[in-house]
Amino acid sequence: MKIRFFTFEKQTYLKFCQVVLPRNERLNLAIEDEIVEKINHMLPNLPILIQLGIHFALALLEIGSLAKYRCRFKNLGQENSHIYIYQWIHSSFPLLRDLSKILNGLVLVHFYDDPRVMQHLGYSINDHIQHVNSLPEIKS
Amino acid sequence: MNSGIISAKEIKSDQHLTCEVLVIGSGSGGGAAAARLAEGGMDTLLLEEGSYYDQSDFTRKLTEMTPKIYRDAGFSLIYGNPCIVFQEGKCIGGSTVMNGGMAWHTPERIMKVWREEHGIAFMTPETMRPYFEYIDQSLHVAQQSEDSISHGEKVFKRSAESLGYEVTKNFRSQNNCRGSNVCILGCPDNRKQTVQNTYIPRALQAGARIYTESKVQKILADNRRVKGVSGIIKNRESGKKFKLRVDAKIICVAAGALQTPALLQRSKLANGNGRVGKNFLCHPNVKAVGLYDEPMNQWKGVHQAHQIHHFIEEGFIMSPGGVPPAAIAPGFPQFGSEHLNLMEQYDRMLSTAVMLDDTTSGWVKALPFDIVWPYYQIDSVMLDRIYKSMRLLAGIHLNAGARKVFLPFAHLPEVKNRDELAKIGPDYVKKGEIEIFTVHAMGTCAMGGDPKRHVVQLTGEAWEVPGLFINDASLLPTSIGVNPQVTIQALSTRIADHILENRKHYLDK
Repeated sequence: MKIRFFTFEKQTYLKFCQVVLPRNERLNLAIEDEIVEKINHMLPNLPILIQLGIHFALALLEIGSLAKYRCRFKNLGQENSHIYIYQWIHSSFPLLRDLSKILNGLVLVHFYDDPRVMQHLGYSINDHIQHVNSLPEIKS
Repeated sequence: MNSGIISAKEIKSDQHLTCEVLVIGSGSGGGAAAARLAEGGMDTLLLEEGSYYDQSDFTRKLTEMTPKIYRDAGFSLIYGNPCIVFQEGKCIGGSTVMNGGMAWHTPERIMKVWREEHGIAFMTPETMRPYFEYIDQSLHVAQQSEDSISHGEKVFKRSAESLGYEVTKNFRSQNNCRGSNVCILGCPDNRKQTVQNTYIPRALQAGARIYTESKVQKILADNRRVKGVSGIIKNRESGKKFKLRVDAKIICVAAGALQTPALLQRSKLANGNGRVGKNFLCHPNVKAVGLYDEPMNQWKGVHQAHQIHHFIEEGFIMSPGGVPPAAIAPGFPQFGSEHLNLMEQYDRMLSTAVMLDDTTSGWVKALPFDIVWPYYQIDSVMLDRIYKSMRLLAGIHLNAGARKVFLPFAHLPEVKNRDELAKIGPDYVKKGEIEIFTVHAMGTCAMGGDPKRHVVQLTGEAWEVPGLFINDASLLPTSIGVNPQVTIQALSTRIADHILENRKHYLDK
């Protein structure tokens, strides 16, 4: 199965991404659209059951929001959406916890793989590799 | 592209190929077998499901590399409570392209169990020594130079030793490794000695043909004797598919301990005793990350230079294991600003893990739509080992001066002092709330002397199907408690030697 996101799913994931995206006063990158697009691109490479899980999780986010707040998730206010996602991530219900872990995990992997973020963290891997390769050969 | 490797891009029509020996899979087992067979003069054809990448393709970016060199982009799951994240390679070189390069010989206590409980009489240190030496030489197995080890790993080592634990320098397949620490994304310096840069060039040099993006769907047999395979060659970029048929009298299956049994099950072969796919073992891993006040610079040193084998008899080993930020980040339960505040301290983190010996086993089943379903449920013995090993591991961090230690438990995400270590137990940590991962799958077509209990006889040939050999981690009848690549390659090489010695017998039939 290789179904990419439908438009409404993208909107839901975008909102989820806005809530969980790591940002603070020192680094505030508005790259939610970019990340959701990259996840959409990666989707066909994931196992079928995880792909299904992601589609199901996005639907469940909307249903839960409608049931709890009588409002579509993408329209939820900042505070409520934060509380809502916090409850998912820390739920005692394993399914919700696991689904949120998948959604959140994909966002985090893409966020921290961004060169701007790596630079912010001081993770200058290319410089490091260049440095170790300039060292004289020492037999192990 | 390495000349001699034929990719799907070059294929314009259905393919019908012939060879003397067909090797399915180019990882540890398949690569070692292909080199030995080709160098022994056999007409060898190797099929690999993934693509070919070399050091110029390794971009050091996780989201670019995982869809290329990992199966399922690194998100494969082993089902159970909890589910276990499983990562294996899917490219020329298989998992050796994305592993840490650890290269340990089969422990003698494991050889004893294999001899006494599984009838594998040849598994003695004396018989296996020439094979281990050959593998060590082929992979340039060596310990790390001091200057390639990160400050963090040295801190961890000193702490473990001060607690009285024996810390062992790792043996790694590496040639002058300087500690780039991107092993898991493909070595950018070609210093990690993988199957892709050792056995594969040798196999090509000896005349082997290699096809990539070639997926075997079925092994064909006549009167339970192999005659070839059918499958597809698929261009990953264009999506174009062509049929593939290979005629061969000898087939070595080395697709890994999940795909190999699934292929045998789909082919309805070698499973008269119902043991294909049973005995699934996976060395479950759990990790702990220490957060320190001083920079640890773990990423400025080799991925893993040491292991603590002090508790190996109790069923677990511990080790540091540095990974890029994108790989460590999903393990923390925070989100938003809290997550970034934490990750800004990446330089002061020290990532470590415990690898557990299996005390139970699961199974692997082939389902429709090409789905492979692995199931594994940790048992109470393993759960106790997780508690104990994590108390010890977190204790090493605290002893080394860690401000806190992040744990893989949903409702006990961190400990800050030694008193809190006692919480790591059944009252705070339920089985289903533990994050477990693994990179070792084994045991699903076990070798042994009993056709009722084992799938494969001591020659590596399936008990029920002449000409069908298994050359990967599926062979291992028990968990081995150490990284398995040398064991896999040694067994696979020995099996290749058996084929070479009996070549006439197999080809004349």
